[in-house]
Amino acid sequence: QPATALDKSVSSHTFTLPSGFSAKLSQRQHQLDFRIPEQSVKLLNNLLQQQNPPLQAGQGKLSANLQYQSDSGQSTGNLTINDMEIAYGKYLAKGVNLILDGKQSSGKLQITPATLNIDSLQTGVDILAVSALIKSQESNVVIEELKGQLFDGQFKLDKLMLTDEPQRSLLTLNNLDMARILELQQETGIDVQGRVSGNIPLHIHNRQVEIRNGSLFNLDQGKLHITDNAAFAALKQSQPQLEPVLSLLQNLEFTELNSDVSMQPNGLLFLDMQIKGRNPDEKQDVNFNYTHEENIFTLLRALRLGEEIQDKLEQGINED
Amino acid sequence: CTHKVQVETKEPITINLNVKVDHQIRVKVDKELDDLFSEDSELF
Amino acid sequence: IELDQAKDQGLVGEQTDGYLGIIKEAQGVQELVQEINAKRKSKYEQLARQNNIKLEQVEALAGKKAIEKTQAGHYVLLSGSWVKK
Repeated sequence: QPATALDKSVSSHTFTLPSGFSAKLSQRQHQLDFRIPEQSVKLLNNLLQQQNPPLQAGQGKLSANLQYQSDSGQSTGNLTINDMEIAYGKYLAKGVNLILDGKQSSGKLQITPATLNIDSLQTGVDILAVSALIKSQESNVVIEELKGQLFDGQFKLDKLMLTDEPQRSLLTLNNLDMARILELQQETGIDVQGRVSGNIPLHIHNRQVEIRNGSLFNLDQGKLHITDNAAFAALKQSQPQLEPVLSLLQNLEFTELNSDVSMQPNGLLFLDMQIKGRNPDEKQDVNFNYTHEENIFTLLRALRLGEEIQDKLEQGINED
Repeated sequence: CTHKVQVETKEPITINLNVKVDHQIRVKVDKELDDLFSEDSELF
Repeated sequence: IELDQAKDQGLVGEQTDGYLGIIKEAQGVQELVQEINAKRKSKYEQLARQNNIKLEQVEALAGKKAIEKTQAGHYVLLSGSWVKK
């Protein structure tokens, strides 16, 4: 192989974005090195904001290295994100930490298993202590054992492929506090006590999620108290003849709660709940069949109307 | 005196309640309030 | 006295219940606040009727909005004390 100009020369070039974000590309013989020294993720904001949906970073640091061998076509790289705060559309993630190593040869991507940690995810519902295993499987990125805390209980998603291919994944819910779930409705005068768990099969296709034959069930005795709730009072007024029966629901101790759960890709959730309980005042057993239909995406949006993600990020930016 | 024991065998009562929640209202109200509290409104 | 003037001079400020509050008495402030709050209340009642929700719910949402949209330098009533944004 004749000596070529490449052999001895080492050229390097530093790129700097207007925001001050800098990266260094250097080349030596067949090796290309692309290095992003550790710096604030915020410096990438004008780039991030052009994504769809727009991304915006608050505090947090990012660094990366990529080596490419032009003779073998192989590349290796790593990416480190620490304590990053980032808004993805209207969702806000805080305390994002990830160290990712990977290599590519002849088009095949291989990621050494890494752990993603997110302290909190604010989506209208607060999801805490999220962790997941990031792997690769035949050049697809795979998320395994995604787990975290929700409604003072736990959730776990066994496996999720980052692909548009149809897939099925089981979401298990454990020991959720019903009172926390009811708080989403922001209804005054209705209190519920009790814990539920559930198995929610997710049918995912083209980034859309559908729930079919999911189930929720109670773990312990529960209670339902309705004191002065506007909607309930209106309901009783509208059907005076049912008033005595309806008022049984104002104080109900239940031993069994089972619910079917389904959700359409547009977010329309259906709960079909059977509750076996007893009104202690009237010593009357009650079979309460309750169905609930609501669009979860508009619920989350309505919940987020109150707090503006922008302000939270602004604080994040000023604190840094 | 004789005690008359009356065993209450009340049949369980079944109650069916169907609720459909429409969030458009809150989103709509919020939009109206946006206009009320805008710069050029003379009430804000 | 005009509303914007009164706000600039720190005489009135926004409250969490969606209504104007008096910070410092001054000529014409009382009438201004009563007039503005009366108009706001009728607007809230109309919104509550149209969407069959309670007046208090509209007032709470209005309060959040008013405080959010108050510009820097104007006052808001937070947990009992007037705070300059």
